[in-house]
Amino acid sequence: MRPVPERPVDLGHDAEEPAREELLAVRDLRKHFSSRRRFLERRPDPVRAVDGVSFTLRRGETLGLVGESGCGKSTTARAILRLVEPTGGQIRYDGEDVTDMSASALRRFRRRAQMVFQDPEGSLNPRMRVGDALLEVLQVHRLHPGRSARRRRVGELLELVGLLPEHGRRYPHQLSGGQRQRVGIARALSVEPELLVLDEPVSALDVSVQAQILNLLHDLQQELQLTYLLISHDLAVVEQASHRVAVMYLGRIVEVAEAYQVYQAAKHPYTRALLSAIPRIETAGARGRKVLLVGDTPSPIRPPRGCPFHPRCTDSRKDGECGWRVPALEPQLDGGRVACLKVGGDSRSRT
Amino acid sequence: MTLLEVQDLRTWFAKEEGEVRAVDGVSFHVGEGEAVGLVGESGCGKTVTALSIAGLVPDPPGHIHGSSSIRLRGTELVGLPERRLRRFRGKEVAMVFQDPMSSLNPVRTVGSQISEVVRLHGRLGAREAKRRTVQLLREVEIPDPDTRYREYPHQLSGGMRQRVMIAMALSCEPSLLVADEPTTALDVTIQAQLLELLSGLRRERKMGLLLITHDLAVVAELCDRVVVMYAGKVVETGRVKDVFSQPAHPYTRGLLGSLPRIGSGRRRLAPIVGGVPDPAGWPSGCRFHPRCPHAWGRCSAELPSLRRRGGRAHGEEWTVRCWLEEEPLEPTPDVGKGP
Repeated sequence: MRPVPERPVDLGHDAEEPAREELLAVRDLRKHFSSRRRFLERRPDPVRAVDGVSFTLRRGETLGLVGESGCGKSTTARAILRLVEPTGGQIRYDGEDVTDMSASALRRFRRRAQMVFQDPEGSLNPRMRVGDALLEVLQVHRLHPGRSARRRRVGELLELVGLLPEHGRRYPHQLSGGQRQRVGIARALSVEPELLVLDEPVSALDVSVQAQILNLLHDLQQELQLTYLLISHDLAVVEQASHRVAVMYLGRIVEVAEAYQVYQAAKHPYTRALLSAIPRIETAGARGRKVLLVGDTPSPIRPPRGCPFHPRCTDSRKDGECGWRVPALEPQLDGGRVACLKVGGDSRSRT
Repeated sequence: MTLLEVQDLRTWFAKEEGEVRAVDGVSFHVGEGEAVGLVGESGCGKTVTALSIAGLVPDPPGHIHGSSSIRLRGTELVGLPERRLRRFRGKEVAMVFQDPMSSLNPVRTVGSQISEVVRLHGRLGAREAKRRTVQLLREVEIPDPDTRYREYPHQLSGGMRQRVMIAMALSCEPSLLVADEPTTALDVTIQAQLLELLSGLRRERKMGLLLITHDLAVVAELCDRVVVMYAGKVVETGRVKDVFSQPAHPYTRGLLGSLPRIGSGRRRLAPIVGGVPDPAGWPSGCRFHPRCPHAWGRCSAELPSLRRRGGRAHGEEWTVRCWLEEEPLEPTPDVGKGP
């Protein structure tokens, strides 16, 4: 038994849950974007947006994927649903290999795994009433045959996300940002998926509305036993919603663990810096306990040699092995994984 | 002395759908060297307030009412002739925006853009202006300022560009810096660097800071006092540590309850019901009443005034606009006034 520190606020239902079965397993996922070679020029180096990402997602849990802009979190999400073709690596969904699916298998997979985007305005047809847009999804997927059955289902979906039937008769621009995001969620739910990949679902919303959507996602997960992969740059949003958290930096996961472990006892120097950089309400007036990172995030076209974080790391031995050895994501005693040479790994769990 | 005093500011816009009362009677002040955070959600009027102070409201369609008052070091700015206004304001107030790319000229080096401002304001020669510019770049902690001087905006990262904007703002040695969401577009580690810089500069230069943001935590880090706006009006003002630890207005309470916080684990939040109202038609009475869990008869009919919180030892300047605060107190006629 590993020691489990007490959580500040427990939702209760987490405690008695049995060990969860693995739904999604990502192994060494890579996505490199290369630009075209120009006349008489050397082929430019590819952008290593995702550069060896591995994690698992268990049924019914929320895994938060956090990181700053350009760290590859959104590309990871898109590559998993094969909205972009991965350059390498393996994605297993419920035992099936996603990277290698036929067109019809992929269609079936996408009914089970749906995506919700940051800006539903960009993904909703501005000239279609939102109710009709939902109806269309049901038609395309041949769900709930019969006109009246489909209409009923659209009503149910709207209700499920906290909208009224009359909202279905409106156009996207006649809805507020929060209502549009509710429609985005309803559309994703219309095909009855098991997994929702949520890409910055509340980043464009006002604080008061953001909280409503986060609560809705909470409730839907319990009601429909959904599994979430939540992508966000906002560590507070991720903590509020996640069971486990993976922190990304320059195309790699640097730390993944149970959420309370990450937030209370982060091990990777980047995670620690990220957490200390967040402004907090509680520390009104009391500044100066920050780990300030120097400089900007390096370019994913030419990531630094060795540990990608070492040029900005406050702990690294600059001329030591951090500069040339790439740390592996090593298992830790408490069940988490950390990619840092200074932290190392738990020798007992190493083979 | 009070550095900036805004009294009953009304900035309205003439739109097709009618008159939009974006800022509708806003009063607050910023003391000499003080940092004040102006917070609220989208459409509450915080940016229009900042633009009004900086003299950047396009007229038409915008219009600042004649009864409004914006006093800077005692000088009334509303109604001042354009030329005098520009000279006075250029010396005393500088503004930094969220997106530096839209305020920087993409085809000129950052050095030439800053030194232009330096020359105009300081009446300096070219060589002296360059020396001063490099010194400013150093002050905002841009590494290798001599090289950066010759670079174009697109060669800099977002954080560096924002530092350039701050250097430009500092060039006229303003007594008040108005910063509108200066760190909102930046990553959190870069945001931390800039907040550190702003707080250091403010201390060293004893400069007043009016920070406009939707992010309450940024205000908590940087500001002495906070002004909370909702639907074109101020609903609560006070010292940051008072207001954020025991918010008095139901809206302030709702905002703080909506905020996910580090260290509180997986949980449901306590959001405010409904959405932010449309500036084209504010609700009657207290503008928060349709979303307020405590609203009663009077709230939808009459607008409460901004009253000083009394009977409590919470300092002089805690004011709240709410009928729940109704107590046998005299209303404060001069809510915006400094001590």
